[in-house]
Amino acid sequence: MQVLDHTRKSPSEISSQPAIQTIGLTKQFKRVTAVKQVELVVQPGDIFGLLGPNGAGKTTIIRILLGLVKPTSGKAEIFGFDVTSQRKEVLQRLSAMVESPALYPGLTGRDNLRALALYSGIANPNWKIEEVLNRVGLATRAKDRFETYSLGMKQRLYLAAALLNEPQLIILDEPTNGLDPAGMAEFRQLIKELAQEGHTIFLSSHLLFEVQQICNRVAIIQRGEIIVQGVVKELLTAQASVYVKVTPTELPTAWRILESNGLAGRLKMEGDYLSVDLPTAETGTITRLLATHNIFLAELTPHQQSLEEFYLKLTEGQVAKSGGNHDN
Amino acid sequence: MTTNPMRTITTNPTLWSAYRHELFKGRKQLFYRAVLALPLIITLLLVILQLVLRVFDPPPPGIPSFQAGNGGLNLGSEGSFAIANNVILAGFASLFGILVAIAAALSVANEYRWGTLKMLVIRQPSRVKVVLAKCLFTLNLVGGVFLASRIKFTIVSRLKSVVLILKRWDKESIILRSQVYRL
Repeated sequence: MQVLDHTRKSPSEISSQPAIQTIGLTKQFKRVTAVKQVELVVQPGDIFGLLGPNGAGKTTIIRILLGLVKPTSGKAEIFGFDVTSQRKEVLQRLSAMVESPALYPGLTGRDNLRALALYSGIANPNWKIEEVLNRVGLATRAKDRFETYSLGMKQRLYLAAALLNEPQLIILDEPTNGLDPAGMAEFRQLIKELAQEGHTIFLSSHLLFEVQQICNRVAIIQRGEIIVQGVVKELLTAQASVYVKVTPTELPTAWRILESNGLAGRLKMEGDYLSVDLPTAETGTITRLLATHNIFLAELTPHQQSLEEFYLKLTEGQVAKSGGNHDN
Repeated sequence: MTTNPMRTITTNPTLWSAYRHELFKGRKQLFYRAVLALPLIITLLLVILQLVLRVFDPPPPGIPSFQAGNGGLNLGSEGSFAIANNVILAGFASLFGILVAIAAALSVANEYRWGTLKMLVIRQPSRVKVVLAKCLFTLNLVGGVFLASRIKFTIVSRLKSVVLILKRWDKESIILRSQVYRL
């Protein structure tokens, strides 16, 4: 009999380990390299978003983490346990929603959970089943068959199934795919609440707005490679820009002044505005420089990039071209 | 966590838990219940039909009056009805075997079709135990069908007394009817 959270490693040992860590993770399918030297670190308590276009390698990484696919080289660890050689320990700590919600269509919501509780050997599962049904707001529809549920309800029941064994880490592969805006918002709220309760969430998505709304850390993957990874706020702040408006006659002079003071590569004309790629905290530099040359600003607007803008800038339009992640 | 702090989840993912999962699904799904119930239901319907025919249409000379046969009453081998009866009985005997084979195949195929197999393999117990649990479930079905056929055989072999009662009731009713006509 196993009591969850009671493992060979002590709780302090586990909490000090990253929830997910991959080292040089590579997966090759014949001539196609789906994942190349991926180094990911997800800390306990994170809501971590793995972003990338279709075919970038997101699902392959998730499949490796779940032990469904073996990596060609490198390794992946979950709370310090190797996903290939210590699968049992890994599966004790995680739950996952992979692709579309798949449960037994002929069984009711409650019976689906009971079947999974029996499978996991959960002793006296009734209170836990009622708890997770309430948690996802399906207690009143638990007597209905799964096949009669809407997609949003199916997703929530699938999440309830993932919560049955109280996982420390929840892996969600495109969790809001196919949901309407209200369903998406509801699901996002649920994920935020789970994170507040202490679960670590790892989700993959290509919906950038969604990821920006809920994730505290992200990694962007393209053609199987991680091109950037970090805290969402820091990434976006570092990429912030400032819109400067001066009288049209002074615009060439302003450009010259800023260019000659080390901002050459950061200037861009956007309509009547001069856009300067500069962290918001450093806007004083612009006002000071221009004022010393008797150019006074008509307008100064800080512009925080959205994750979508950041992502598109980073991938420089290659996203549209990348139909997959072929080596050649 | 929203969990009750006084309560802790304990898990024991074993072959037994995977087998109980299979049994639970089987019990809740109409198809598996039908596989077990069909041998009984079909035989009972067939025997009732045979009884009706036997009571109102006596057997030809030389054929035992009421004898339990393979899955129903033995109506001998002569005459079109008797031949049809034997063909039907033989057909049903093999049908149950086929049903069990289909049920066993569906227990795996449905997991693929519904996408639930992936959900099972990313949980404990291991994949090997999932397969073993399905094998045990199939054996369970075979045992269930065997048990159902034994019950069916017992019912059929006890039919003689039922038929005699029916026959006597029929004779009495004929006498009664003829007396009514005379009046």
